[in-house]
Amino acid sequence: MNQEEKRIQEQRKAARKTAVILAVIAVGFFSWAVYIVVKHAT
Amino acid sequence: MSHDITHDGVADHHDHDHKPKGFVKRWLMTTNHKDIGTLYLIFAFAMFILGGAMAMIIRLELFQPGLQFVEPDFFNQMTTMHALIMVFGAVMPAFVGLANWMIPMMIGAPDMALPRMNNWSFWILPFAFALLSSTLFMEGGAPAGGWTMYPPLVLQGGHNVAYLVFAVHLMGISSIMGAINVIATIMNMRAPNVGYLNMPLFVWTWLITAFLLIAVMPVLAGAVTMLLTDRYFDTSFFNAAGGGDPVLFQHIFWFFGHPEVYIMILPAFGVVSEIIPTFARKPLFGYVSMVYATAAIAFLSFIVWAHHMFSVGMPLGAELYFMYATMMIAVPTGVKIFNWVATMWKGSMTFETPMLFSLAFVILFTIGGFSGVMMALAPVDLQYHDTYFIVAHFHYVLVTGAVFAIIAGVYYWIPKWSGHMYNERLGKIHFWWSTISVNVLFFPQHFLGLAGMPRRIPDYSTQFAEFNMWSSIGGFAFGLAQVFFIYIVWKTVRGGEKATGQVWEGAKGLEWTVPSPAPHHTFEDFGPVDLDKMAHGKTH
Repeated sequence: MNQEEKRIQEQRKAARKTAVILAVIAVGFFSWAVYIVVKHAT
Repeated sequence: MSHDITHDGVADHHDHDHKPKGFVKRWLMTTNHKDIGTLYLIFAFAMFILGGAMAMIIRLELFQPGLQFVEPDFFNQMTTMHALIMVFGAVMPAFVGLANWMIPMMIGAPDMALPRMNNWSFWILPFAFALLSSTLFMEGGAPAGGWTMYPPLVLQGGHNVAYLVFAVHLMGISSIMGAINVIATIMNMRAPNVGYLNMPLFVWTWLITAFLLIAVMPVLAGAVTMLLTDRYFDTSFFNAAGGGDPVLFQHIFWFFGHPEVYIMILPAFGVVSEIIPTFARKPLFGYVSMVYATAAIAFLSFIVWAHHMFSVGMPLGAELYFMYATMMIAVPTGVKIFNWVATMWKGSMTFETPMLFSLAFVILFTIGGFSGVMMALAPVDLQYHDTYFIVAHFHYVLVTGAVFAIIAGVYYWIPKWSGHMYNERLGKIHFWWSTISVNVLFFPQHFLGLAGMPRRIPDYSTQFAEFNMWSSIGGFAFGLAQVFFIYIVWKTVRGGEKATGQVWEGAKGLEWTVPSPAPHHTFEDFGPVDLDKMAHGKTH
């Protein structure tokens, strides 16, 4: 594996971490919308 | 180490063209950003035709007063489906297609950060729209309560509600995964020395758009999930009879819906910000202020949603707040318009088709923006609300805004995608045909709205007959112009004058350093790039 391939591997690893964080944020917004409505309904 | 650029200005970076063999491997299982970009663009084109066909039915029925061709309920299905298909099936996927093709090449990345998820993001979409379109053949027909899906109206349909909600869920999942991929790519996959302030404006606008998508698509998903439980599981979240609140749905919908407008227009700003400097042969005026203006528009889009609901009724203080907050959006938008004009000022301008569409964008989007400011005024909006004035407004923003930018982008980048130049004479015919007809189509709708013609009606008073006739004639002509566009694209892909790597004399950026057509794999063994090849950044 040359230097460039190594760099791209590391970049992809960091990208996966970013993706997980963003997915958690998305789930958070979904839960927030549901929470607002449920709270209002009760 | 900067990468070598050969004598013809094309990077020699050991690209290879190992395309997978066979249709299934090449297209169904592809993880290549260029192939997935092509799939998105083809899908968006197909949806554009389907949604456009529905628009033709709408304009045909409205050609004359009285009911001529379709039943009122079918007319309502057409307005609802036209909007859903154009918003979620045509405009959004078209911009994702442009993002897939261009972002990795613009930042010196070999591909999107998460290629398999990229494949999944795309292939969810055909299923979503198959679900949605299948409702046209169901008993009771397709959803007819408007794209806003307001309860209780939307819940009074047949079983299309379940299909609609699942389709929205699938579109949402696809959009969120696409957005995650865009952010992960831009934040992590840039070539080593490409900084944030070296990135092209198209990349910047997409980065900000992707954050908007992640924030608002889940909110829509949450709201429609509760619509589903109201319809099938006896809950009353939005049912006043059961203690629920239908207005709450409107608040949540527009918390999604207003940023959604910017999701469809910010990438358009990015496309135009790439094209105008190329054909003015000058760097973009006020690059950093463009980035800040984009971020400001995105932020403001979250705090203005209730301007869609002035006529619902709200406290005076809230009306004033939403009115002034909405008018503030004109400030960063004005910065952008000013910067585009300043970029052209004293430039060595030429008027190839992408530039013509971009110029039309600047002028016609500004008309749409002005009518938007008019409607931001709460007392005035009470008169305009649900009239053809709003129909004229949002079509100026979305057709002469977003769609014109997509068309401009296709003309601008198709030589890079296909390796062929499009026919400039045909491109110009397409431009004038589209621009004249689109104004015949939508401009009279301002007058119809001001005279009081309501939207979403299949029949109308005879006083509106003449403007409606002109609007329909414009609509048919605009529809035909887009069939002509398909012919131009098809002809370009099939052959024509060979494009150089640089393509446009004034173009700057990494995407122009690769040959045309762009090899299947690019920037695979690329080190730091020569920042002089970038259009923006410290070296300038």
